[in-house]
Amino acid sequence: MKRVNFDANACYGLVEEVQGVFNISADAAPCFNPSSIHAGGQAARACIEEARADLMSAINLNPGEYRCIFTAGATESNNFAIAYATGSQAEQVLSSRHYISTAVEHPSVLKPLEHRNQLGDQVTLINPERDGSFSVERFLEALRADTRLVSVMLANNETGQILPVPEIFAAIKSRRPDIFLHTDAVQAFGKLQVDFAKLNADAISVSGHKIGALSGVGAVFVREALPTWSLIRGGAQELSWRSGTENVLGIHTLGVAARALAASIDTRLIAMREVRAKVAAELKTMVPQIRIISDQFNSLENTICAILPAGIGGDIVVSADLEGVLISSGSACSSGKPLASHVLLAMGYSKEEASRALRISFRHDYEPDDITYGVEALRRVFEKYLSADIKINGLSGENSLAN
Amino acid sequence: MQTDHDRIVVAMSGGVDSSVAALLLQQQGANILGVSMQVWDYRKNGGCDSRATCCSPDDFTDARKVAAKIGIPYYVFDLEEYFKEEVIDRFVETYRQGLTPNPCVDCNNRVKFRELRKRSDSLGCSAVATGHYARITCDDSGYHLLRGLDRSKDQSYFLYGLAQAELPRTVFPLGELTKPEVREIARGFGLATANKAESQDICFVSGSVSDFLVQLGGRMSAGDIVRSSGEKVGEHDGLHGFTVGQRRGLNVGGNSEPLYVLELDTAKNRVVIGSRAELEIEGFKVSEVNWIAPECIEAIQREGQVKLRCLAQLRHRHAGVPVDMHWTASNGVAKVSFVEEHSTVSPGQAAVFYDLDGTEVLGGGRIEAQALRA
Repeated sequence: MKRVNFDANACYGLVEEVQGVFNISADAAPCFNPSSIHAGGQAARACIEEARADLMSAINLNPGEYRCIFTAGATESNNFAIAYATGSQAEQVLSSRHYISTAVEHPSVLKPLEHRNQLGDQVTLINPERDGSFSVERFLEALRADTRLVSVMLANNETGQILPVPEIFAAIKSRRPDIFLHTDAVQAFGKLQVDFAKLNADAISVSGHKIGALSGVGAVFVREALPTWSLIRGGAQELSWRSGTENVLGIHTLGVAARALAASIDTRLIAMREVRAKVAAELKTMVPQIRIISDQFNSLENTICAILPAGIGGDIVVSADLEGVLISSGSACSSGKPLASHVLLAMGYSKEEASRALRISFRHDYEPDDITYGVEALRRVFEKYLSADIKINGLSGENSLAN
Repeated sequence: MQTDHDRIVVAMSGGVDSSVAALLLQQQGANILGVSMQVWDYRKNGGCDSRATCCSPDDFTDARKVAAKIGIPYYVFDLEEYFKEEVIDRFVETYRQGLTPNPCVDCNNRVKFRELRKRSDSLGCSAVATGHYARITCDDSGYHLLRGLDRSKDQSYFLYGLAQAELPRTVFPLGELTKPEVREIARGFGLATANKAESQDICFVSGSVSDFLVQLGGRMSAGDIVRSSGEKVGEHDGLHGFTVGQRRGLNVGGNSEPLYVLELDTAKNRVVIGSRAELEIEGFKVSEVNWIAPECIEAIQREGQVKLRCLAQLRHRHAGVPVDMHWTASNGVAKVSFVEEHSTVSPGQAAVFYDLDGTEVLGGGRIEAQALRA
């Protein structure tokens, strides 16, 4: 059956330009190891270097100021950045280490920090203010003599919230140039106009499958002047920054997707804005009591985070799936059972409210028919779950579900 | 087999029975979804100690593989809260009361065929299917719940809680098959679970029940073992280790005749034991009775009672004995007397009434603690 992807923040799906990649012949670059001396290796090498250049260009970073290191995805990029800031073995001079991040980061930032905490380091996670915004002052207040890393995501994957990273990093850099500044730009890249060069970041993480390339590939941009260090050791690929034979096909798609992105970022944002506005408007007619929390703050153009009114029972995501529209709720979990969103909890929503959260996120390139198809599918889903009581009286009571 | 439903949810445990149930329905052209119920969080209970990573039970992986092979959608439903309240808490509380719990019955009654059904309904699924060995038939008088054809695998005993109204919306694809036939079907289709060993124990207890109960905060304390006269003859280290009718593990040596557990005295934390003769009772009472068979439901409507001779099955592997059963709507309790032998019962266990053929489930309930003594 036909399927429409309204879950772009989980996986964009391949953009058209990348699909073209799969007519691959046996002598094509992705079939070879870039470290090989022969023509095949040279082709593979040329392929990944072209991708590197395309990516740097798309993110508008200067090779003289930043280096681009390919990884197996943003989780590795994030793990790398935190490990880098922790310091190499030779640097165990300081007796204590402190890290600052936010309570709404992706687990690939929170987990390594939790691990550092278990090993004896200190971690401060900044919570949002009551209105959901992040205050620069809180980060400054949290700074300590032994702080070595501040990691703040540019945009949140669940809520779409855009965090004031340029302001935070500028404030910290001017006071404490010694602190390693890292931003997880996974969701922001391609969905937000950002001057990455002016962020004052020491490391920036991006991901392939969030911009329409293959999953399992990403990159971390690191300030060029910083000394070499690697999390993954071995054959010294990526100029000793990250060993392991490069995922040539993945990297190739990353470059292709980045190039396509750069060529069309303006129109993409407009398209995302339009589909989001349309779907949000429709949602409000389908579920009058819906709270679209992504409207409450500066958020990515493509993301709707909504909390459904109490009393809507049922499995909205499963039901939507059966109708052919793909959406999310909470955070995905590998066993298939959703967990309560730590992001929503950090923002002050209750576990119960978090259990009623939906994330609907968009690509930039739907056919008009697809948008209509998706909207109608959602309409069928909500019609099933809304009892007459809620529709007419707007009750949000516990017992308003017919069954 | 009813496949005239718009869409059916098949409860998939990852075992061969539910796998084949799904396969058969799909082969018959039914529109089905596979659903696994997450009822127990292995993370919180000694599985993984990491908070945000999940232990994907291997069973879910198996169920998922089977669903993918059959070509049906597969989801995991979180039913932990319900399971905890309706099954686990009851399990612990039942032991505390000195009774023998029946968690599989509670799971069926309260989780699978209530909560799962509710969620399935909301997805537009008109029936729930499982891999239970049991049959549902239909005639002019209504729907009937029958034993599975494979008597040695029959699980109708655990299904006595089904309401008559639910039967048209419940599907048991395996009821006419034997276990070897089911495995053969699985093998024939190349299902990974064809040769998977059956789970024997309670699904949420790995290790001993005693350890489990202690872990959940029940410190079952040691006490005396006494004869019905009150004379102390030994000691025990927790009532939960005993079931009425039990003969082994009493550790009271020096008797010419075998001794059995007569009663679990929770008030005084004593195990009361006695001879076979003392153990035998003429009858017992059954409460929380659910009636399924149309003839019984009609009798209730006509006379407010069900009074008949039938076969009572008193535990899972029990052939069933003839009894005279009299249930009244006014107090909801059935008085049951043995027709032939004077037999033992385990309070807390399910007593399920079958017709004299032993084929159709008339109804069933929970054996009460007070036995009728001669």
